[in-house]
Order: sequence, then structure tokens, then C-alpha cells
Amino acid sequence: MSALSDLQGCQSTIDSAWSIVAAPLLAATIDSALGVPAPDGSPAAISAQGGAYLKTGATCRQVAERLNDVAKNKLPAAWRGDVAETASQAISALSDDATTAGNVLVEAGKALQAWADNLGTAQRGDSSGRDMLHSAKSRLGPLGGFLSSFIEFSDPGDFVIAVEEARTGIASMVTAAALAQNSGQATASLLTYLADQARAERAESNGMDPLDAVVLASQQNAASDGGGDILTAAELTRASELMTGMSVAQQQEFERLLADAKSPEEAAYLMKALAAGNSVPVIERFDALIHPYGNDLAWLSQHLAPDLASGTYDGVDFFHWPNLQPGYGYDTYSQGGINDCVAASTVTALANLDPVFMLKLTTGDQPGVPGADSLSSFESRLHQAFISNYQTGQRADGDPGVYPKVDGGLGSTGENVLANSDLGTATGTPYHYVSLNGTGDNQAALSQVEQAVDSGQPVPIDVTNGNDSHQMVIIGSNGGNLEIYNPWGYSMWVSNQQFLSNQLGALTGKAPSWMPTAFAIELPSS
Amino acid sequence: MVPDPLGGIAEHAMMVRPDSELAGLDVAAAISRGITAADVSRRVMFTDAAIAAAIEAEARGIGPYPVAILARVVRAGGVVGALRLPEPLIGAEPTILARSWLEAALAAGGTMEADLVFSRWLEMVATLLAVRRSARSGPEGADRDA
Repeated sequence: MSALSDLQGCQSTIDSAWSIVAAPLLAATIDSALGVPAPDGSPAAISAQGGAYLKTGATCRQVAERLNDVAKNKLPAAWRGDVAETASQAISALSDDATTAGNVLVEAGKALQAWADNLGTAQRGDSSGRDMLHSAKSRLGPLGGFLSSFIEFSDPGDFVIAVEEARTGIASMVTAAALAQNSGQATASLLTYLADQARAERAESNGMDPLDAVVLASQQNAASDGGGDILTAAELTRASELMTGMSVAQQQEFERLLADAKSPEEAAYLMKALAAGNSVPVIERFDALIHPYGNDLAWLSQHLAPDLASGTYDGVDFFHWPNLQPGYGYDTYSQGGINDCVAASTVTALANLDPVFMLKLTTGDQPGVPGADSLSSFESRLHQAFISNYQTGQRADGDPGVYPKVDGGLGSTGENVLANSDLGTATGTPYHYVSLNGTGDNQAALSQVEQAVDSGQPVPIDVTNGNDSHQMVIIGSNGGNLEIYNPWGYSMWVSNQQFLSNQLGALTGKAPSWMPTAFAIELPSS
Repeated sequence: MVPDPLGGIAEHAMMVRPDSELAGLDVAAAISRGITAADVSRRVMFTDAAIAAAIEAEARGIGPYPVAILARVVRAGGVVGALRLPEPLIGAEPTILARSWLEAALAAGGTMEADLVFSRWLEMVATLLAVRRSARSGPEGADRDA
């Protein structure tokens, strides 16, 4: 029996109490009615949830508009041909899905807020009805009306008032219970319908036809047991913001990768890689590695999001994280005074956030090479991630001159702090080595140097006097001057002209031993 | 050894600022200011404060690689995500140092743009650590790193 039907039963009894002889029954029925629970729930909490849905829905609609703009205006303007058309359609589909998600969320938000209003109204109606019933009960006297017809009513008018109060009170409670029940059921039905609708929309945009943000956001990682979306909502938002900030060319390149994805899951990992802050060229290389497995969902899951909690997949011991307690790993790898180790917990956090990093751990960026994704290879790479293998190899060889390496072939291969070391890989910012052979080269490089340091990216610079060489870092620029840090313990400002004409000697001492000539720099590639 | 710029040819005179002048620089405050304002404060954050931070890190035995990895965690998961790491840099003192930087960044930022600026700053610090180490370990630097 529901609260509503219980109260309706009481109402029927109360409404039929015409005569004073019914006073005892009236009193007992009032007690029964007061024993029915009031409508339960917190209108404030429900309303707040509805508000959150409305807000998210509005964001989705904005995203949809932006995507639509890309599909209708930006993409066709900059890119023509069949492939462009396909891409436009794909982005339109994405926009449609975001629109659907936005609409669904807005509808759900409105429904919840209406439900909150109704529940509040019902609770107030119920409360005032109860007050009336209490009042009626008190008029029936201390014996509850049992002897009412003989001694309890000094004024028969009291009974009449008690009956009126009881009728008004029970009516108010019945109305409240009906509102709560009907409105609650209607809200639940609407939410179920909206969920079904969203699922149906998803089912229509299957597989190859790329990338709908909604689909992506709800792709489940096959390796986890019923949980763990590939992309969290926060990552989707992050990726969306990063896409907005890209150059048109980068946007097009990324959208092409999405459009070519073999499955929504592959695309979801691309979005996740973007959300993790990888540049488009890095994501391109990443996708080239995973694309052959783009529709092999088990492979993607095993190599990009292995279930780290159990270390198994399909019952087979697979990539297994070792002990993640603080302190794990560094006893083994302590390197004298300088600690180049990273806590296992930090490596785990990064691997979970960044599929590019995870792929490197699970396959060494060599998917398809037999044994590359073996458990032992994985563990070996994981250990390398705990420390840097940067310099360790050379140190093990007893070679003290790791950087810079004076090998008589200055500028030919270049020993780089960033480009060839794990540091560049670790930061995720690819660097490339640029040989400088005179003023012309310096001139050509200058604007890139300024651009890099203006955006906060250091530019390593190698200088020489023909015999010795030394590495410093350009760290700042200021309208015609460059600030160069010398690791010997100071920094200096030099003019652009001094850089261009290889008059950098004062940075490294005095003539004739100083090293005035820049022979190489390292520049960020993106 | 800090070169005397006037000892060179006059037109090559350059402003020299030894690292010792940066001792005691309030790195956390420079991070906060630099993230908030993309002007001189930003440049100070990426030059003076980054050098000071690298020297502080080096004094605590921190190498370039873990700082670079921390930069990458910040870029991938934001400053907020990095603050959840139990040991952003291994060891009690390094963790305190890293958290002081992260908290300064969080106080000033909270946006994704702020996360990216701070991540690049950590990369700058890592690069300075690397180049300082290479200068020390190389045959050239051994007798000059006074």
C-alpha cells in the first residue's frame, strides 16, 4: 500500500463521520493518518542536482555550436575535396551528439527542478494537514472521544469543528501525497526516457563515423570491470579547450586524425592524449602506432589502459605495477648525491593520465614487434621510468664527459641536453637540434629562439672557440636582447647583434680561451 | 668564476648577474605573480625565479628528470592533480619544496592556461638543472664551477 492509498482510506472514514457517536472512530482514524510517513526527500538537494544538469547542458550546447561552426564554416573554408567533406560530416555528427547531450541534460535538469518544486509543495501541504489533524484530535478530548457523546463534549459545536478540521487536514495530506507520488513517478519516467533517447542516439552513430564527444565520453575501457570511462568529463572539457586554442592547421590535422579513427575508442584515446597536453605532432606519431589496432578494442585497452589494480587482463597476468608504496624503487636506483628517481605513484598517475606515456611503457612505442609488449619488457621500461636512463649508461661506462661531449666532430651530431636525452622525452616537448654555421644560420634561427623563450621554453645553445665547447641556455628575450644562463653560475644579457655575429665570448671568460661562436641550438619542435 | 665584462672588448660589455644574487629570492611569490601577469613578472618567473628554484632543488639533491616528469603530470592533470601526488619529488624536503611551488601556482591559477604556464616553468627548471649538471660533470666545468 502506498502512502496515498492509506491516506485515501482514512479520508473516506473521516468524511463519513457525521454523527457524534462516530467520535471514537474519528479519533482512531486521525491516529492512523498521522502514522503515514510524510513525503520524503530534500527539495534543495534535488533542485541543486537539477541546476547542475542545466549548467552542464548549457555547456554542451555551447560546445555543439562551436563544433557546428567548425563543420559549417571553418573546415570547408580551409580544406576542400572529398576528405574534407567527410571530415565536415563527421564534425557535424559530433556537433549533433553534443546538441543531443545538451538537450537531454537541460530536459533532465528542468524535470528535476520541477520535481523539487512539487516535492516542496507536497511537504508543506502534508505538514499543514497534520497540524489540522492534531488540532482536531485535541478537540476530541483526553479520552479520544470514546465517551464523547455522553460526557466529553460540553459544547457539541466542538465536535463539529473537530470534524471540519479533520476533513480539511486529511484532504490536504491526500492532495500532498498524490502530488508527491504522481510527480515522482512522472519525473522518473521522463529521466528513463531521456536516458533511452541518449542511448538510442549513440547507437545510431556507430563505429567508423567518427567522433562524437558524447560517444567518446562514455566509451568504457574494456579492461576494467564495468567501470572506468576512457575519457572523463574533465578530460573532454580540457581537450575541447585545447582544441579551441590551436592554430587552424593544427585543428584540421587533429580533426583529420579523429575522422580517420577506426573506432570511437581509438578516437577517445586521441582526445585523451590531447587532454594530457600532447602536441598534435606527438599525437600524430601516437596514432600512427595505435591506428593498426584501432578497431581491436581489447588491444587498445590492454596497451593504453591496462587494469593496474589487478595487473591482469582476461585472467592472464599482464602488465603489472609493482608495489606503489612511497619509497618503492629508489633504493635500487639511488645515484649518489643527485636523485633522479621518480616515485612509482607519480609514474602511475602520469600513465593513467597520458596514453602516450602509457603506450611507451607497454610497447616501447613498438607495437607489433614480437616481445615488445611482454611482461618483462614492460617491467624494464617501468624501472626506467622510475629513474632516468639519461646519463646512467654513460656513467656506468665511467665516462665523465657526458655533456658536452668533445669528440672532434663539433656540430655534426650534437650532444643535446634535450633532443637526445630522456629529458626531452620526459617533458613531452620534442626538441630538435639545429646546427649554426655563421651569421646567416643565426639570423634564420633568431626569431624561433625569441618565440620559444617568449613562451617560456628554454633554448640550449652550444658555443665553441674551435677547441673547447660549452653548453648554456637562452632563457629570456627582451626587445633586442637575449638572456643566456651559463651553468658556471651566472646569467648575462647579450644583444641580438652579438648573437648574430658570434660575439658571445664574454659569456665564457676572456680572450683567447673564451668561446664566442654559437655552433648549435636546440629548438622546441612545436 | 664570474667574468668581468669590462675585461673584454668594450663593445661586448654585457650585464652579468651571478647566481649568488638570487639567493633568498621568493620563488613561490614569483610563481604567483608570473602566472597572474604575462608581462615582466612572467619573465622574472621564467628567468630569475627558475634559476633560483633550480639551485634550491639542486641543494636538496633533486635531479632534472623528476622535475621534468612533474612538469608532465601538471600538464596532463593540472596543478590540482599534481598536488594529489603523495611524493611529487622523492623525499620529505623535496616534496615540501615541490608543494610550495605547486600551491603558489594553484593560488594564482586554477585555469588550464595557468596549468600550462606552470608546467613550462617546471620544464625550464628541469632544463637548468640538466645543464648545470652537465657543466659540473664535464671536463670543462669541473674547475670553473666555483
